[in-house]
Amino acid sequence: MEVRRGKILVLDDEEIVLESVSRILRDENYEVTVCKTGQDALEAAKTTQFSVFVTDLKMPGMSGLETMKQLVEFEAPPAIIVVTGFPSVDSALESLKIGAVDYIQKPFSPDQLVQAVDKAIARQSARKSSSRLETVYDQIRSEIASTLELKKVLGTATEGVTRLLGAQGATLSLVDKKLQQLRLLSSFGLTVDYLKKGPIDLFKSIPETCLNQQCSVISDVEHDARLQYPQAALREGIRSILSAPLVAQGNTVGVLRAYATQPKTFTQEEIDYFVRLADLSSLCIQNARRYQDTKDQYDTLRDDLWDYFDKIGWE
Amino acid sequence: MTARPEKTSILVVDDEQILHESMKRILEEGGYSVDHAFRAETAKKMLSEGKYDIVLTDLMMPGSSGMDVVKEIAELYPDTGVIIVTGYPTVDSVVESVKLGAIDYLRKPFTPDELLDVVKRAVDKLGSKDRREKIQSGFQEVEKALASSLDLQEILKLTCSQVVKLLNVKGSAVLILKPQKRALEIASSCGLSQSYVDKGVMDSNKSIAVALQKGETIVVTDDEFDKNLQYPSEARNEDIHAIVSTPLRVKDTIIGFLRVYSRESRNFDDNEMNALLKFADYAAKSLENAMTFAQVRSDIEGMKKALEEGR
Repeated sequence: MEVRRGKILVLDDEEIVLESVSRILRDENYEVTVCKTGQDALEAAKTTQFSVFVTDLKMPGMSGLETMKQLVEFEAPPAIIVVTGFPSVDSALESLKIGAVDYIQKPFSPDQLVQAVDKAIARQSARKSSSRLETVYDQIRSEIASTLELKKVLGTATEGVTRLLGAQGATLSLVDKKLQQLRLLSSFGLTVDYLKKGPIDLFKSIPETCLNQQCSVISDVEHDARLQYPQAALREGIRSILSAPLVAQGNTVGVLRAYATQPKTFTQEEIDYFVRLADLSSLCIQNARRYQDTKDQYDTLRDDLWDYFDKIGWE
Repeated sequence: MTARPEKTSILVVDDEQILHESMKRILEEGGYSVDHAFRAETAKKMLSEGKYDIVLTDLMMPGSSGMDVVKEIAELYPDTGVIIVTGYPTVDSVVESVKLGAIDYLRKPFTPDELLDVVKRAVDKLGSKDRREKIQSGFQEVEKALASSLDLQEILKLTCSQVVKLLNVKGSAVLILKPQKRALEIASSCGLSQSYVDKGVMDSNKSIAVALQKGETIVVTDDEFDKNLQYPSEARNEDIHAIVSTPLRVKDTIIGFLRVYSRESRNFDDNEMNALLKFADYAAKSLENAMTFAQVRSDIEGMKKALEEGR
């Protein structure tokens, strides 16, 4: 069975319309809730998160327009589609100004309705994922910026990128110039087997990220020649990989990678946030290393002081 | 909030000569710069050559229809606002044009006031959209800038300059709380005159005391300066008309405030407020890091000195 494609709330005072609209939408695997009054619809929307609200305009009691006006004030309002038997320029304009995404005139064909709902759902989910990305990114930024401990910065980067992209896992490696290899510093969500797969050659493993400082997308591990260990990746269940360079003073110092278990096409927005996190991570890593160096100096000096006091005695 | 921007540019697309002339006159008197096109083709050509903030277009014209102009703008010039001006609106054309992004409708015949109103509303709408986008993209620069240093003075400076840029305000200041002195000291500022910065000691019990006690963000506009500010006339002399103060928290303790100063007497919209809070949170973390770093550095200096003296 196909998965449910989204929850839809339908408001109309006519039983026959409710029946036909819900039949059409249920046939398309949508989950449908019907209401006969605006009050009922608002109540339903308070307890359930709907993706789309399909509404008539002329009804006894609260009008469709009034219901819409109240609904758009909800925290995450559904997309609104107006369906009316009495179309007018004024009501169309007002509906659209309130925020309706479509205005369908009765009688309409099942296709017309389904198309409008599909489109609204697609728009809604794009908006949702975009606001989710922003929220998650803000959290990660806050976390990674609130520490100077290198370990914590690295851990936040890999855990954060996994969370941001809803991926399987992530790694952060530094470039070892002498060996021409990538040295793993931090990872999240990956097995030891996969992490120990072998030395990672700068020129063989997604080389453009290190050599040309480009973010690169591997959307199908099985058929991509840029991987050094495709079999290990497949065994791990990895199907797609996103890589971004960590740049400091113009040089590539490392690579941040995210691994997904599906052959996934990342949206441009996801890639943008990923690159942004890589950039922020490299700055935070630099700060953490400077702090670490200073802290080391502090520790050495403190030991020297202890030695000194030991020599002259405490009393 | 900045210096007077350039005139809003408007393109009027309509095939009626007489209407054209009167619209041009009304809009120019309203302070807009106006071009016109009699045909959709001409309009498309003009759009490709110059930047227009707003296009007022009829839908029914000889040759290709006004809807083509609307479509072209939706595809190629998404920042341009479209207002449909038409004598014969149909439900279909209304729905189609709004779906394509038209922001308003003006029905012919209209009065000069109706025309100016609809354009003013569009300008406001575009302005807030523009600000929203600028703030969103501005944050990328903010986060890089504030993570680019561990030096306390540098971070203070960056905090002030970045918030001014992000919110496009007159100036800003970081005020650090000195509990023993019951005072707020300006640790860094941007866009303010030296005499304003040096205006006097700020009593932490007087200046925005409420904000301090509750840890809230406070907006004070110029009509409340006398009641709420310790130095109201100095603020007026500085051409400040609104001040927003938001606490800077380090480990749940308020260490001071971030203040932004506006040239206009106004409240900030939700979007700007959220941005300010997000900014303050991030700036506080950078300040905390810089303070931690400075502490270790000063401990090192202390130990070095002790060792030297001992030897």
